[in-house]
Amino acid sequence: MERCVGLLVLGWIAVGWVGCAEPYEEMSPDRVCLDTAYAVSNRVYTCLGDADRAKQVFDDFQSQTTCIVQDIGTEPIAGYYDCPTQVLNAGCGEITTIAATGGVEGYLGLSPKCPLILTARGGGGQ
Amino acid sequence: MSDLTRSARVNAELDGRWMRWAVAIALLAAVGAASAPAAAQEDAYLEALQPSSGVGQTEIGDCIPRPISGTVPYLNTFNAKETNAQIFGTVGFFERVMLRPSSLGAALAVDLDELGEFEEGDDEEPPLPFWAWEINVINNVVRVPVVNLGSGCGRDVRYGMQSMDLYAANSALRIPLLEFTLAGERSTVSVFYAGGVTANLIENTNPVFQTYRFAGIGLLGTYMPPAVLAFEDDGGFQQISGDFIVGARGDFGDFGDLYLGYVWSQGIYTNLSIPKLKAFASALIESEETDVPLLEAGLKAIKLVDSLGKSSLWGRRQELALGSQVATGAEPLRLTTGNFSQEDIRLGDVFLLDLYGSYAFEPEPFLHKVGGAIHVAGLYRFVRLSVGTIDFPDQPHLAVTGGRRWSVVSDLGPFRVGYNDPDLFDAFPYARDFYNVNVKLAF
Repeated sequence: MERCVGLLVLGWIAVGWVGCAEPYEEMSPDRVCLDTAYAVSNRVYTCLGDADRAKQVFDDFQSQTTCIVQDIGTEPIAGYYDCPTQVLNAGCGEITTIAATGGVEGYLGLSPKCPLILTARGGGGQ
Repeated sequence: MSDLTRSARVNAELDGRWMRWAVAIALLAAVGAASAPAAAQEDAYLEALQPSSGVGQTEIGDCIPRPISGTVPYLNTFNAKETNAQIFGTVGFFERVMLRPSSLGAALAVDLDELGEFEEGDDEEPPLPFWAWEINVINNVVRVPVVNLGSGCGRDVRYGMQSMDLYAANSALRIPLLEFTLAGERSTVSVFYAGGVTANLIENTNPVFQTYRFAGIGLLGTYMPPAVLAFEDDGGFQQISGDFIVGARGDFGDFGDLYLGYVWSQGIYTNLSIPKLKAFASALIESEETDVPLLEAGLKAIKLVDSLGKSSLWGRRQELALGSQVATGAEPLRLTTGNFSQEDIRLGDVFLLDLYGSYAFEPEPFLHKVGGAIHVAGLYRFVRLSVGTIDFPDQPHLAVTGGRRWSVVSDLGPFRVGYNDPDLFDAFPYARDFYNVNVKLAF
């Protein structure tokens, strides 16, 4: 609230209204899954240099996986973050191979934590 | 203009500038007198130089947000830090403020019309600043997954999304040394210095305007940037860095105006403009790899028809280095644009219209800009307001979603406040719903 007051003092009501957005929000349970999808898209973009392909891979990954993280309070989220970390650390040769074969299993196999948070639809993860 | 008139004008200009300098010193003294004692300032500054100590220890105990590494937003934060240093650091500030007339300086210059120094609409360019300060803050440039550790969080561990802010503080001065005549042209040589402090900050929920306070305190560090380098928190995430540029300017009248300076972090900076040809060029040359991360050249202030104002046409290429945490195979962000502006088109006796356009050759997605602004003659763009929308693209590889957002940018004298400022989106493509405040004083 004080943030709002300060900005209004500056005289820019419109911007002050925007500035009320909370700088912190609780993490949603599926955030680690979303971060994994972002990591996949980032690697495809970096390694293949194709923004459209990176977006397509992101959409495919989202539609072909189900996030199974239920409770942010009780599950070991910090450990789960090994999944997007390993995806981001994968070399371009590995990413190119996985992208060429299609599907999501290759990405889920990059970390033992990935199958704990994501399952392939119609499959069962790894 | 005759030599006598020019001489009188130059003398009046120098007198006027010394007058402005005196005003600036008086203002600085007043600020100093109204501030806390020097020892307290030093303590506050030292505190500000240690960001980890400033993350909400007083109000929420030891609940300290730590970014989770190994995510795309985490990589974005490091790129944002680096980009902030390049766009709002010393060189960017020097180009943006010291090489351009300020609205405040021009407003003062209007008062000095009787001295023959400057009159808007005249063929003469308004005077450039001798002293300048700038603070720039960008809030919510990246939202990053964090884990909050410590008993102050109410639970042992909390996970959340925390916004990261950037700030930059800069100061500069130019001191005239020599005045002489060269081939009939009244010439001057001056030395200049600009120092800057840039940093990132994970904003806590409780302290009010923490980033703004640190940015203000950071101004003190602009006079000793080497002392500021490499302050970082325990995790190496929050970091304050300093930079400076020092050099000389030679103003040789119609022959040209040359800046040559050494940039501590990068190498050589130079800017050359030739008034007779209306041409200018500037470059930043890195000494180690003989790379040119900044190159700009074009024509400016061409006046063909009085009522249509001044035309400028220029190209700019800037390469933004990646942050210290880099994905394997990632390449620097390159901003290459062709730009056009038509300023001071007469709309009756009172109003003037500016039109501008920018065509982006890279990066993808291209962000081409066209705009206009109306301002009042005599106030020299003192008040401006731009409102529009931006269609942000979906960029999952940068961990952001797209959609249409409002963009509002407002200038009021030395203040600029923006929400989704399109000028910043070029350099910070992962930013969404961000807002920035810029304050600059130049005399």
